[in-house]
Amino acid sequence: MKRNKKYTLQLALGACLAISAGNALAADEKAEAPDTSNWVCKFCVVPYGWYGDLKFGVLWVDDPTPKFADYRGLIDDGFYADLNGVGGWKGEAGHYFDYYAKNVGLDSRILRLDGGKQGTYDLRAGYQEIPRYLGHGTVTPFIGEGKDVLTLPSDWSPVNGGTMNVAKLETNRTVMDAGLTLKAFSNWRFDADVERQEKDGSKTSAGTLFFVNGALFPSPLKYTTDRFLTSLEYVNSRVQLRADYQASDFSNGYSSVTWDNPFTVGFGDELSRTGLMPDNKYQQFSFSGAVRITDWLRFNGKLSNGEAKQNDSFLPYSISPDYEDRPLPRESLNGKLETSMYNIAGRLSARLSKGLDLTASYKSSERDNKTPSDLYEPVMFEIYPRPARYNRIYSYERSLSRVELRWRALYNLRFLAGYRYEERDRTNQEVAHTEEDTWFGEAQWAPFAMLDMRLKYEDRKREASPSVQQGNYDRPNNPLMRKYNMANRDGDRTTVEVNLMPTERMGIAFSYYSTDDSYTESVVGLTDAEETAVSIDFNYQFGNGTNVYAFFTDENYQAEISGANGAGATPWNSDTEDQITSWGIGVSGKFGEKWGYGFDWISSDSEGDIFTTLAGAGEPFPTLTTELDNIRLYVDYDINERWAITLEAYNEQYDSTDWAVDGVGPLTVDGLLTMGEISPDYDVNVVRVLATWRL
Amino acid sequence: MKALPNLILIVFLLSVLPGNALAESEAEYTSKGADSCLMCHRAEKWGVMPIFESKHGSLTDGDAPFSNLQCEACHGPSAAHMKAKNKAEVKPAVVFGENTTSTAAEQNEPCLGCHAGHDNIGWMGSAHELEDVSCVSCHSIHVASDPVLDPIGQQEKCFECHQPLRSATLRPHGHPLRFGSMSCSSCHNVHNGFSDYLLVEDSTNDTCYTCHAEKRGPFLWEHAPASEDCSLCHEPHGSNHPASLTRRAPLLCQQCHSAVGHPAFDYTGEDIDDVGRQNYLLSRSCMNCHSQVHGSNHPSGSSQLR
Repeated sequence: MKRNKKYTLQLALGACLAISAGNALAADEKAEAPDTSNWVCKFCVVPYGWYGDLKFGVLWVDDPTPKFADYRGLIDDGFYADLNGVGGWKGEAGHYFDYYAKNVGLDSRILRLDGGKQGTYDLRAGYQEIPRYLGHGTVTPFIGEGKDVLTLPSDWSPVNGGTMNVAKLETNRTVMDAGLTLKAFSNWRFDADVERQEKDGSKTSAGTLFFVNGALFPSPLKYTTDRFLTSLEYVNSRVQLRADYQASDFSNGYSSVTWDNPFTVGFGDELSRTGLMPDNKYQQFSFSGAVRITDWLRFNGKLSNGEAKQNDSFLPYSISPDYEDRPLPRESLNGKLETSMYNIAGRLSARLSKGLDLTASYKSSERDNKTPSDLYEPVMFEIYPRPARYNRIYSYERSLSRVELRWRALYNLRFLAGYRYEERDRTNQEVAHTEEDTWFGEAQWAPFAMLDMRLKYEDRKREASPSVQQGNYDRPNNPLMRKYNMANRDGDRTTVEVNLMPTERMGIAFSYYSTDDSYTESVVGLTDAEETAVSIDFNYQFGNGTNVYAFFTDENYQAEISGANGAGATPWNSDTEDQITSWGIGVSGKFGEKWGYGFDWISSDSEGDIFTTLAGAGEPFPTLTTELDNIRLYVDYDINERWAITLEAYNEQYDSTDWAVDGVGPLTVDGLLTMGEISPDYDVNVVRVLATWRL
Repeated sequence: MKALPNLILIVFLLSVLPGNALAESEAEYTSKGADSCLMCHRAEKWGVMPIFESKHGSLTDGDAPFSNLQCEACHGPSAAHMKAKNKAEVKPAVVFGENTTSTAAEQNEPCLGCHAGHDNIGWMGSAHELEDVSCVSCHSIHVASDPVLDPIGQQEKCFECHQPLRSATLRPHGHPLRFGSMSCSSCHNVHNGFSDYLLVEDSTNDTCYTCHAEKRGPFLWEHAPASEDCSLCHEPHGSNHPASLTRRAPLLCQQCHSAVGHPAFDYTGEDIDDVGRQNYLLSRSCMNCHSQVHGSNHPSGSSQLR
């Protein structure tokens, strides 16, 4: 009987598909292609030769700070040369050359060049720098920032300190890339790209010392990452196939940093050594494709197979002579360390009738960690051995199924309903298996041409297998802890979006997003998380080309976290809340034929509150605050068709308070050597004069 | 889960009930191609002539619209529109933009006719496709240079729908989006639905490793959440907390760690001045000692201490 029922369902499905196919094939009929041999296109005026512009001039900065200069590169007072531009050249035979230049005179420069023959080949190259300045008032007694040996000054004393040096904590990332594209027989395409990223400088790192002392120090960075990507593609109107290969090779110029112990107790811990990021290699093959069987039945999918390797030589357990000869189970990860990743995705979109779509997808991914697990005998603080332990191997599997039905009931009314099912498996973690069911729905209605409304709702429920602590811990977790990424969870998400265009010139967009997750069986750990965001945008375009805009967003992030200092201890509860309010207003337009202007004021304030109580008692933390204001004004003047000049000025103010660093000097905290970081404040003016040369 | 195949089947069955697809009415192409259209539309107010400064306007690339059916390569057969006395009532076969009778799928079909390959192989079934986003919702065609190809212009376009993300980029800690050193497409391939969140790589972590390859490992001592999903601890669009962390340590860490002793202490505002707890709370909090939170390859780094 069951068998008959199965066949009946299959027959019904087949019949439905056949009927739909007939209908859809009817809809596939296309207008006959015309004879274009007499199409002259006398109005098609293609401007050959150079086009675009180059903008060059000077930029003046007054009193910048590292926080202001971060990513911008404007770290010093005074003048900078500046060059920007977008444009290129176009030849009658289809040859072209494009350029994009931004901040070429600054440390945040970007230059991209692209050329070739359209439809035949393309050659491209790029260069970019990204500067980071993370030293906000930071100092350190360590000598040798940027190198892998850090020494303390001769006058160092753990009580009174010693000579302090400015810790710059600067890095510069350089990205260089080149690539080519070849197209042949109108169906084939070949791409190859190489990229080198270099990141040099120093960043904050930390070490721990006997007994629970710690020290922050500038750790060196000398990263090089080479990437190679290539693909071969075949495309026609019904089938698209693509094969990809990518490889990544990361190398670190420093394998460790050695540093003088500022709190040595004299048992062989005068020096300490911290390991730095090891070299690694990665490669991945992937194959993706899409096929359109009819207009209503399509498939696409992707299959990837990757492998990461890491085989850097191990450092000794300790730099201390007492332990440097302590035998390791292997000298490195022995070249046997492999990580494989698989990602399979497939989608079916069945356009069964006009206005009704079904999409189903399935995806599976795996991170299969084949790293060997051995018994290690770590040495803590360079002084004493810890209990032997195996390195734990984490692997992950995930599968995601999704089905979604869309129905366009009327031209202005659309409904969507769907279901998503997700499973995750983890090895060597407390929870081996989780599964999550999610139902979602959406309605979109545009009752008038000027109004479009959308409402979405999603309800999800995650169930986890029993939480079982894994052994091999020095400090076992509280048995009531449920790690939030693998805990039982009930959640929902609501989205409301309204777009209003009262006139052709005016646009108003409103959105509301809310997410609420409750970790239903978590007594210790994250128990509740909520997010809301409300936004409204306004835009109005006057008849004379003047454009006015405004935006406002208010975001709120709340979480409840509980803990207990032992299974039977009185639990504590902590409420955290981050509130961020951003807004902006601006206007741009023209005065007459030659003058243009613009004004923007963007502001963003944030507050962070934490209130932890134990048995109802506790004092809240001071509020974390940041205030950012950027006011910008510019004026353009067209001298003639070739030349224009722009005067731009902006002021940016930033104020912040942070209880974690404010008032915490290098030796303020007993047993902790910090770098005396302060929360950044600045008030910086920038003036830029640019001449525009139109090619 | 066992119900899923039946659910799919039911949905299929329901789908075909109203399933009489309407055959498209026959349509004709104009007799002179673009010259028919540009007779009127070359006027500045229509703003179409800059297309000849773009790749689409090429007369030599055999794959470009203007080397084929010209305007009608995208707008479809439009003879009826050209011949109509009231042209506002008789539109071309495909009219792009919002508030048109052409659905997003109908608008996208001409684009996908040429751009179905490369990054768009995963378009069908992607979040944007399912949300009826049309290509022209983001891309400008009748211009010399599409604004979404500029990092800042691209963000402005994305923020039109993803409004809170504009605010996210203004938060005190985050990626350099507002400086134009990155764009949304540095991490997201908005045409491709093969990965979660339309990311450029197969997973969140693989996307992060394109710039932060040093964190790929694998490490001797892995930190499980770091190897699983960077976004368990980091908010990539911007955060109120250093290193774009989702919360302030020690609470960030106490979401998962509650071993007896300093990991389980009830740190309160009073502890800012508590000599016995300051070193766990101030400056970098847990990371004052546990600095190797992305994983350690040091044989003694089992607690991510070095």
